[in-house]
Amino acid sequence: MHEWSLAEAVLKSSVEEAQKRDLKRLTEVKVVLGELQGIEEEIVKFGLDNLKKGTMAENANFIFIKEHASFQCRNCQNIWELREVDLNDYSIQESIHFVPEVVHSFIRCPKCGSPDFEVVRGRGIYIKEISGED
Amino acid sequence: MMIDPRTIMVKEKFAAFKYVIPVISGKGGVGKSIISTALSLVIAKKFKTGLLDLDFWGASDHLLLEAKNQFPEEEKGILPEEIKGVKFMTVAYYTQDQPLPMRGKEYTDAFLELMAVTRWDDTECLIIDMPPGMSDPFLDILKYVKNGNCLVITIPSRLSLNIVLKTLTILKEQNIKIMGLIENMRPTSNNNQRINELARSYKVPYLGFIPYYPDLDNYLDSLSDFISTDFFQQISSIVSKGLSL
Ligand SMILES: Nc1ncnc2c1ncn2[C@@H]1O[C@H](COP(=O)(O)OP(=O)(O)OP(=O)(O)O)[C@@H](O)[C@H]1O
Ligand SMILES: [Mg+2]
Ligand SMILES: [Zn+2]
Repeated sequence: MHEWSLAEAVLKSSVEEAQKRDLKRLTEVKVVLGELQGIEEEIVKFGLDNLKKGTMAENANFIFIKEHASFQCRNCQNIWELREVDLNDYSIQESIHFVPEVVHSFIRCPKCGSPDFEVVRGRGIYIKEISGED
Repeated sequence: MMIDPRTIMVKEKFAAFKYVIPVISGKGGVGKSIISTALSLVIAKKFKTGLLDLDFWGASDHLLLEAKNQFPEEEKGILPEEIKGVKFMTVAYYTQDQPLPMRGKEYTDAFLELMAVTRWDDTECLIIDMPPGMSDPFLDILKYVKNGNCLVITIPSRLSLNIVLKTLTILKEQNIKIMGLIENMRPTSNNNQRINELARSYKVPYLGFIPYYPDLDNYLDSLSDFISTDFFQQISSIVSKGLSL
């Protein structure tokens, strides 16, 4: 599972950001999980719980926020959501799970058929907020 | 606020290699992919070596390496497939041989994603097969790879040289290390020293030439055929003579 490496990335980045702000301990980290990447929250959580031991994030509460994925066509401006797309092929879901941009290999704008669309929201994982104590 | 957790991982991953060799040109179709692939197989005899195909729009190294048509294994990250001692990563594992039309911004996202989750572990030398041009892939390498030592490929044509010189100019300006220049597809009738002299005038080592082999394509269907070619032999000898690894 590659959620583990994402957990590692979240931890390292939060700690780095906390150090930049001269924080001594991290208390809370808000992590957004974009729907498109389909990351398993439980595995990221498990990874973080293991990896944070002995770091300044040891007692931090990691809060996960799910974000729906939506797209906008650059050709016709049409906006649509991932839930409207029929992506039931498991191997396609897996491919997008690893590299969300390969969505351009598999879906088109439902209105005009263009592959030139933007993932406006809900692409993948990012850190929204950190809090801590100095 | 929005922190991208991948950037720190990507920088760390590149910094962990002893050697990172982006194979670039600026010009398309001059042999970057075939040279990168051969180079990685040759260097793998000496160092733990990886090959990253960064040409997401025109990935081709998986064809030469006969990579498996399935997802690489996962274990706390993605474990690259190992082919004749080369750890190999390409977006082709995830596109199911479909076209991947996307813009540069999306290219950067895909690049960060692949690099952040790939476990190169104790790989010492990473070869990067670059797409042509100076757009996002080239700029991302300048941004994220601080220990790169570029291998620049040209063919004798004026139409290639003009572009390659611009690539050399920007690499020099940005203080990026240049391992040297390789002249590819030299016609047997050509004995001039033009590229050699040009390399000298730019203070870039001239690492040698590879002749044009008209029937090379007949040997690209299987990896064992490819390894048996004079082309491959030529890369081997350039590595043993000229590369300061
Ligand atoms: N020395 C050579 N003799 C004969 N054919 C060659 C030689 N070098 C490369 N080729 C052929 O030239 C073509 C282009 O090579 P390759 O795909 O490696 O170039 P590239 O620089 O990676 O192209 P791109 O810019 O599209 O990524 C291929 O068909 C390859 O087999
Ligand atoms: Mg190529
Ligand atoms: Zn459209």
